[in-house]
Amino acid sequence: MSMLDVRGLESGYGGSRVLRGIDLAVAEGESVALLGRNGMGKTTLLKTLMGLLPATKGEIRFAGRRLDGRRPEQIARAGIAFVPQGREIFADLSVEENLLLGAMGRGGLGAAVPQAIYARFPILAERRHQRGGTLSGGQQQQLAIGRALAGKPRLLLLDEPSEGLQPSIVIEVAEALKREAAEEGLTLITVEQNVDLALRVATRCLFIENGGIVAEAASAELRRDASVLHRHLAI
Amino acid sequence: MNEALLLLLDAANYVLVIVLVAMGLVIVFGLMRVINMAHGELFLLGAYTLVMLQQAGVSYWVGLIAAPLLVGIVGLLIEELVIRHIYHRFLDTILATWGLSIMIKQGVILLFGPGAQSTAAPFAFQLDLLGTPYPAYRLFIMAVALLVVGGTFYLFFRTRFGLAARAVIASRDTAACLGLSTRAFDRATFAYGAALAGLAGAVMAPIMSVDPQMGLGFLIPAFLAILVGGAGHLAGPVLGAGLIGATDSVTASLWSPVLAQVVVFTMAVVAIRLFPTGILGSGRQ
Repeated sequence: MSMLDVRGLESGYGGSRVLRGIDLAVAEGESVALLGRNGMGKTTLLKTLMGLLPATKGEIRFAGRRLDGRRPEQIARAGIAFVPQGREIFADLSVEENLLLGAMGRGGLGAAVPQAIYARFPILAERRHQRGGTLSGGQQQQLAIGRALAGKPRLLLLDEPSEGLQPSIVIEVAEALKREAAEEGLTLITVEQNVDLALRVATRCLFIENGGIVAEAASAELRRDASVLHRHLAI
Repeated sequence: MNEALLLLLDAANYVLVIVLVAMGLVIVFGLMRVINMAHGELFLLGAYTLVMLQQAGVSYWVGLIAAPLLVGIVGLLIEELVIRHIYHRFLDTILATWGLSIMIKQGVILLFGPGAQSTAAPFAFQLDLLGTPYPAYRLFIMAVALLVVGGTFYLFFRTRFGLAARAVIASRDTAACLGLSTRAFDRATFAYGAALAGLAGAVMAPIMSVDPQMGLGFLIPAFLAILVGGAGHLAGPVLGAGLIGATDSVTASLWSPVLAQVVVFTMAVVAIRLFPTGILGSGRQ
């Protein structure tokens, strides 16, 4: 049985329908990338999964439980974490406080930051008393991922983790995610424009067009033959 | 020297009570973007709770504890029954809380009549301060206010609860996505803000005329304090209340209360002209 099971999901902003019936199944421990051009519904899908946008139709099942219609905090507590586009770290709070909030969201007010986070991202340990806003883009991305992982989620949703990062940092972020997924059995769904990062992190790529999933392929296959990428991403 | 000391103490007294009232307003505004026009009536309810309990023969000290608790519960009810349904509708929250303020005020008039009630301080002796006698109860008010203001700063800047509340203030969606219950923080902070107003009303009741209009007299300077000091930081109302309260007390005692009003409003206009979002800023873009 898959960990995440989405059927006929529809949602959008105001009256406009952005998602037009998404079907998606992701197995436990699997890493999936969602690719597609701008405005095709990738971010909308993640926001709907997270409860930030209401699902107007269809259902979302996570570990057997219905999650559509739930509030974001309930979805987070069920074990789904979200790293939003633009990272949204708390700029005025310290690195440590940012991580602490990630741990407190699921663990309650008394929770502590898991030491594994600092081991995974040593720069965060080094800068733990610095304000989040003073970090570089790559460090902020690590902080956003670390904050999401601090709640010990089972499924991590990432929206454009490569955005605004130098290519060398993108590789670093991709490798950290890959190791986390492999060692902790974390399930990943990554929305990306950066094909390099997507192919590195994910074993399977899905293509979204006009609010529906139109194709899928194994990453290994896409590395051998890029024609599918060209067709769906027009690159 | 004696005159100056008395003036200083009276000003400090006034400033601290305004800080209590303004702090409740700022906490609610910071978290929920709701301007609570009924905040002055929560002050009123605090004062009447104390008076009512004392008339029923209950000790002052029980009343002082009961007032913020009861007004906090009233705040919880207001949040649940009214505010919750009109978040994100800024103008509607002003109208709704204004309506609530009228309801509470008229309710008090129906129950207790329009006249003034009075209640006695638990102790009436004077303390000798550098040769100047000063009512001990006024010093007690200052101590209570200082303690509560200090405690509020501690709560918001030194505890895990405060950290989570500041995260919700900075970004509701992000906080919710981490698993923090924004609803729980809305409820808790609205109740806390209300309880602060209730405590201010109760602690002031023995030294003022307790009547249905008393809330307004503190709401307006509290609003001015926030406008001058800024709503983005907990220290904003403290700074604003310091400036407003000190100016008001000093001008009123040296010249006249009418002139004090003129000076205070002029100062507020100038301050807002120079610092449109308050001296410490609004905290949001």
